[in-house]
Amino acid sequence: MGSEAERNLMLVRQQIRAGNLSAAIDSLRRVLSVDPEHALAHTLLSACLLDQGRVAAAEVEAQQALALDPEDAVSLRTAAAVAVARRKLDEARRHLDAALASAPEESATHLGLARLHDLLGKRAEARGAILRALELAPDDPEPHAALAKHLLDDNDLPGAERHARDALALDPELGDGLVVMGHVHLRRGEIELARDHAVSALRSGDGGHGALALFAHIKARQSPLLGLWWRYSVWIGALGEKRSILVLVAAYATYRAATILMEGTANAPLVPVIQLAWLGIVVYTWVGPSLFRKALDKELGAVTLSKDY
Amino acid sequence: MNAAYKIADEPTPSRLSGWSVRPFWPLLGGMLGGAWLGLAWFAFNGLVVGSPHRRREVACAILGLLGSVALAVGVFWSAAAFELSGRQIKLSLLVLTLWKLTVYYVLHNLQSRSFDIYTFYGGKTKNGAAVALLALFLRGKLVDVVPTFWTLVLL
Repeated sequence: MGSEAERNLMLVRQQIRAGNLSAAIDSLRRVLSVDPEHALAHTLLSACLLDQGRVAAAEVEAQQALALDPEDAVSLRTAAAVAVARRKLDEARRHLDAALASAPEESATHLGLARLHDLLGKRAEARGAILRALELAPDDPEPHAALAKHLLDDNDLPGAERHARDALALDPELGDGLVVMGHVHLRRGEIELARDHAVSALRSGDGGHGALALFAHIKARQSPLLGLWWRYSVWIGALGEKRSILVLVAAYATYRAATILMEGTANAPLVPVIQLAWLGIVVYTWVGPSLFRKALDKELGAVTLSKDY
Repeated sequence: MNAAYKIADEPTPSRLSGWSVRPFWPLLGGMLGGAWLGLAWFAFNGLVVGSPHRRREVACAILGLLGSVALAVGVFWSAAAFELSGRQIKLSLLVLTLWKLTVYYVLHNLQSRSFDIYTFYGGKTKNGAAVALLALFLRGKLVDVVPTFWTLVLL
């Protein structure tokens, strides 16, 4: 039974590497059906669910993994990533500290710490953690890609390109490296090359959200009207659930209160104009997502790599 | 033989799950037809899909209704007690609308997550456009026959 679980976990790792998260989740479900106390399976399942954006379920799995093996560095890192996704930054810090205490030489933990510092706006500490990861694992492409991303955020395009190339020299299919290179090209106005990198990242199965976001950025650059919707949806998404509801309700309240207060005053002729503008916004935010998705699907279906890529 | 491992956010569809709709339609149904449709539709949808949050969703719909009753009572009372002008009454009724809107959005967000998983695994849904449009038509008729207080609560 144990060897079957091991075989299944090997398959899971291949499926995750290929970006086939649904298949990986099905395989993990099989492992856990036989052995519900398999800590590593819970950890991997948590990571897959997190990648699919199923944060609540990922948290349940991460907690189960930690209950079974509280000192495992991989489980602690996964739990920290889940806590970050739930904006429980103190909890993430506790998990990462525990992971560092358990295995101080693992570069992935330092990269997790760098992401946390980044979220807290501690750029210098974030860079320090990435450099430490690089020092611990100079042949691992991930720290190179993380440094490239960090430099890209600082608008240091030559530095970002250099480290992204280093990452891609170690692993030509590394999604994060391809995505950073794509952003470098996009900022230089080299749209075709940016698109090629996004496609390569998607094809590698490792680029996931980053590659799609890059694609969306490219589309937004090409079409100002869809770009506006993209920026709006990124902004509203970043607010989080509760605040986004508050913003939407407040926008409606402002609109309605303004029209009620204008009725019967000298500004009354403006009311139909405001109502029309509101209707326009409603229609635009309604059809915007489907138009954007259609444009993106069309792009993904039609794209071919350029000759000089 | 072991039962298949169940992930925490996975729905447990009932035999009626084929009658479910995307949560967008109850949201639109509520906006066009009124709370009587929106809240009931959200609750039905959560129950038939077997959403893991179905109890919370039903509780939220009930709370939405009770909140509407309380706010409508508040509007009626304050209109009489403070002799509110037409404009002031309109502004106070806006609070009632905002309450319903908030409840719809909360229910929509709650239900969307489990619904995405339900459809991801091949769950069937119906298109709710016809019901939402019918509700818009019915709303106009109901305003004439339903007492004012219940119009405020349910429409």
